[in-house]
Amino acid sequence: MRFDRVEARQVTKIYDRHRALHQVNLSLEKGQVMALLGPNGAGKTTLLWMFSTLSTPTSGTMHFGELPPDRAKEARGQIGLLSHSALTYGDLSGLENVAFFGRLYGAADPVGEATRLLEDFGLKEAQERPAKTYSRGMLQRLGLARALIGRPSLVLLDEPFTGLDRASTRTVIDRVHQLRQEGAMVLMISHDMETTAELADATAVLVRGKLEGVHQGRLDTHALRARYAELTEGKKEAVA
Amino acid sequence: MTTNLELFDQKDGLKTPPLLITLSVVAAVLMGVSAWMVFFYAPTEKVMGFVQKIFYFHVPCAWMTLWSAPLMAFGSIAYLATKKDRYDRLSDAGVELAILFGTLVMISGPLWGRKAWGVYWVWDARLTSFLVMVLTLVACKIVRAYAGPSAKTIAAGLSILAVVNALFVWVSVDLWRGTHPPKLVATLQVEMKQVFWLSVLSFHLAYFAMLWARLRMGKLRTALDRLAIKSTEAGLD
Amino acid sequence: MSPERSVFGTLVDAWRITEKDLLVELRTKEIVLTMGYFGFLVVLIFSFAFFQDGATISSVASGILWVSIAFAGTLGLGRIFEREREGDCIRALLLSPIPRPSIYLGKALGVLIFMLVVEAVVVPSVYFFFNLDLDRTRAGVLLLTVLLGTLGYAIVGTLLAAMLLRARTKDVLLAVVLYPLILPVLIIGVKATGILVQPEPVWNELSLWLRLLGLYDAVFLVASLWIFEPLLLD
Ligand SMILES: Nc1ncnc2c1ncn2[C@@H]1O[C@H](COP(=O)(O)OP(=O)(O)OP(=O)(O)O)[C@@H](O)[C@H]1O
Ligand SMILES: [Mg+2]
Repeated sequence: MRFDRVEARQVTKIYDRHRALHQVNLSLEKGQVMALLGPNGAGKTTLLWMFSTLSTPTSGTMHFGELPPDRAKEARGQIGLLSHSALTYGDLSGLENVAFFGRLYGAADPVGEATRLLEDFGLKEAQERPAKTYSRGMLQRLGLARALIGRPSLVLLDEPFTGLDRASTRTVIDRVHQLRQEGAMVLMISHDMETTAELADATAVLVRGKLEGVHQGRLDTHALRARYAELTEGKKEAVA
Repeated sequence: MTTNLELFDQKDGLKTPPLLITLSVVAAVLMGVSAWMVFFYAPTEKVMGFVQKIFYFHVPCAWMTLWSAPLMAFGSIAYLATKKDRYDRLSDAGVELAILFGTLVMISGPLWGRKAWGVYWVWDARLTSFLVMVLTLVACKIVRAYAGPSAKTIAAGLSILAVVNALFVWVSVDLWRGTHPPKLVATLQVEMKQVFWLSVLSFHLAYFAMLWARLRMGKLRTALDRLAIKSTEAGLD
Repeated sequence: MSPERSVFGTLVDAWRITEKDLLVELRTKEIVLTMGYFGFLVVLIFSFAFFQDGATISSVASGILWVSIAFAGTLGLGRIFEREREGDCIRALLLSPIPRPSIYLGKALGVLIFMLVVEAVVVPSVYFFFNLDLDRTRAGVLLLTVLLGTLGYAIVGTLLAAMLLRARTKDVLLAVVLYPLILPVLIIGVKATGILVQPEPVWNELSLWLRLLGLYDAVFLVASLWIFEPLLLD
């Protein structure tokens, strides 16, 4: 059951004595790539987890397509997540990892689809090696292949470009363009203004748990920097 | 200062409710009276002698422990289902009271057992299931303190398991061996009965006073947490 | 494709997870080897402790059998879940559309299989060191008892290990919470085995214990399936 819209309404998340998110409203439409920017500790990852259904808001609601908020977890099979860590098994080979998750997602031909994805991400040579022998950038690409095996409607990328060389960055950027064309939604956390400017149809800036602004529409690197500086200016933890 | 602490109504603020104070005082006085009556009013039992007096404390303590079990089971199930903090506080209060009274049961039980059966500890169904439940609940408190972010959920799950498990231990040890004294209350002399029921009453009052106070404490702590969030956000840290 | 699949689908997905654990274990052999060796050592140490007049007292055999299983089991439980935590794989499992009970059942089955492999070492060592001499029927019933007990251990142990997955001091905490909860398994296992190793077993009593053990397994399986899902989400 695909969905073409996700929305966070008045989402607040409290950890013990720390409010990581404060009444955040944010929505994505089909075919939209949104960048989520903000200084360290702003709550970007926390917000991404909310969109993954793996974490639930302390107050406020998450809406996935037409699903009522209390059934949000049913959307999980349609969500692809690339997190800080690879979310793969070190003792399994790259191919086994992706094929294993492909099976869980009910893929018709898990090994075939996994092989194709790994090839797309330039891991064909390494696909038989255990994932623990992969380098940081290779793991990142493996994680991406794993995230996409279920053909998700919503793709969540937490700093997808850290650790990637130029060629791999290019691959990932092209892939995101392709996802947009296929009608997926992409929510992407990034600290890199250049790639953000190249990809994002919309930009949201989070500072200390509050959404300081959402810019709909594309911005070039220069305008993006200016806008970001303006929104984070004077905020305590802001280090651009 | 506007304390927007949703948990408390604005008028009374954080004042202790008068009824709680009254209840605590009455419970304390009754406790004192019943303790006095246990030693100076109730006749000394022929077979067990002075040690029999433990019975007036042991049995009410056991009942209080038994009260706590459904209390925390309900709180935990409701917490797992709704994730509302209020149920977590109920479950935590139940766990603490069960540990307190369960421990008292296990201290007073052996004192009795030493006189009645010649040994302090017997692997009797009730005593063993109390012991196992208290052990699990202590584990539950340890988890709450050290498990990190999802501690509340884990504690809720554990306390449900603790109750189910205690039932099992009860049945299995009962099959294994049973030495617990049969229901004694019916066979008591009139004065003994009076003292016993007074003791039961005072324990109940004390129990509810403690439960109430504990729930309030939980509420205050939550309010304090929210206040702390506000103060950090206002830049007061 | 709805996330709430049929019972059969749940079992298929559970098996996929078990299969994956078995594949990893076949490759590393780490868990089964350490657990098995540790179990053997525990049996050995206890038989030294109860050594008298040139032979080991056989009446303690049943106790030692179950203590060894319990100790070795804790070791394995911690490890099998550590593999889900490394690289945060558990999140990927939770995010996949398979029913959450599949994850629990799959891991529990894996734990059960690993423990049975380990028991293939522990049970014969107890047999050997304590000079047990069981006829066919009694040996068969002993295996049944061990199977039922291990099942209960796996059911409760998997739930606890999963819930402590993200706890800071999980290794210590696991032991602290596990032993009180599996006490019924130990009590029943010890009693049943104790009856079995006698020359004239009381079959009535034995069957009562075994049925009780079966009931424990069933009750805790249902309880675990029910509380597993809320436990894993924050
Ligand atoms: N499980 C948790 N328990 C307690 N506090 C947490 C937890 N997860 C996040 N936080 C806190 O919430 C705040 C937001 O964290 P988050 O990881 O969302 O930041 P971020 O914007 O992703 O930062 P970065 O750019 O460094 O990745 C931080 O102050 C963090 O300490
Ligand atoms: Mg982050």
